[in-house]
Amino acid sequence: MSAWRLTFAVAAAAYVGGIVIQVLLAGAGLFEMTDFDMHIGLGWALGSAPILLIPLAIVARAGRGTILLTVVLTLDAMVQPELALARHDSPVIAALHPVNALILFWLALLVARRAIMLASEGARRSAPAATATPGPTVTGFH
Amino acid sequence: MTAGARIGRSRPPGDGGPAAAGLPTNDDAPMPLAEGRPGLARFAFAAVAFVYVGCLFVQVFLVGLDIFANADASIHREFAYVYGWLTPLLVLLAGFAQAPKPTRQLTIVLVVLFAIQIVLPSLKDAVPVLAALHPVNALAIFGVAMLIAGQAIDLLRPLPTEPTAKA
Repeated sequence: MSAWRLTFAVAAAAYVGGIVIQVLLAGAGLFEMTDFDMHIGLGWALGSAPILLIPLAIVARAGRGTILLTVVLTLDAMVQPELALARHDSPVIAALHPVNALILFWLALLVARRAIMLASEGARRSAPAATATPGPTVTGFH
Repeated sequence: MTAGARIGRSRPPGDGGPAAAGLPTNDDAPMPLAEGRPGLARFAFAAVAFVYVGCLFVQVFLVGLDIFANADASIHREFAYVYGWLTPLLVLLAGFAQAPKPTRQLTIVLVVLFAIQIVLPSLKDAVPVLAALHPVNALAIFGVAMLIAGQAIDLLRPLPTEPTAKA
């Protein structure tokens, strides 16, 4: 159970890291360090990656709010590459691509924060149990 | 746990509190408001914090228009100077609002990040890697601004009832 929570926390934190790298790649493209190929490639991966967070949130028993937030994150992540693709038909809609990136970043932070709190809560609960086990005779005096 | 619970809340003067009860005090707690003060500064702090977050969304939309709709890039640049003065204003308002120390520190961090943000694009030719951090720093500014806005809202909420100490 706590292993799933730890996995969920690590995956959620990694997703936030992925967004930061993605934005750095966008910056590298904008300031003509590289082309946008890496940004586009990673973008497709990040667009579908949060789907993996949903089952992780469920098996980690993250709670309805966190699972719902993960679903919203997944849907928003799926929209993100589509916004960029709208550049030819509707450039103004495509201009929402970086705006949605901010929303995506914030949602990912919220999910990661909740997942880390969940994992640390599980660790805190298991810690007293582990320390209490060596002394059953001592606890018997109380 | 809400941000307000983390950062502490102010309490009316003379109602006891942890120090009076002999309990450990929270140094991060905001100073109590003076009697009869309507908390206008706190309202202004929250309002400006939310306007700032709104400006960040507009600013990023302007980048999108520049990239995808071939809008004039100078609009994005000029708009930064339009709302940029709100950044030091947030520092002042956090002080007037008697916000807790972590919130006041966040407003200073925001000023520093904003100053860095203005400089980063000019490094395009000298240190392109640093210039590429311009949008990453924008994420950091957004994150800090959201935290400040959340904590500013917490300052407007009524105080939770403190448990009274037994004599």
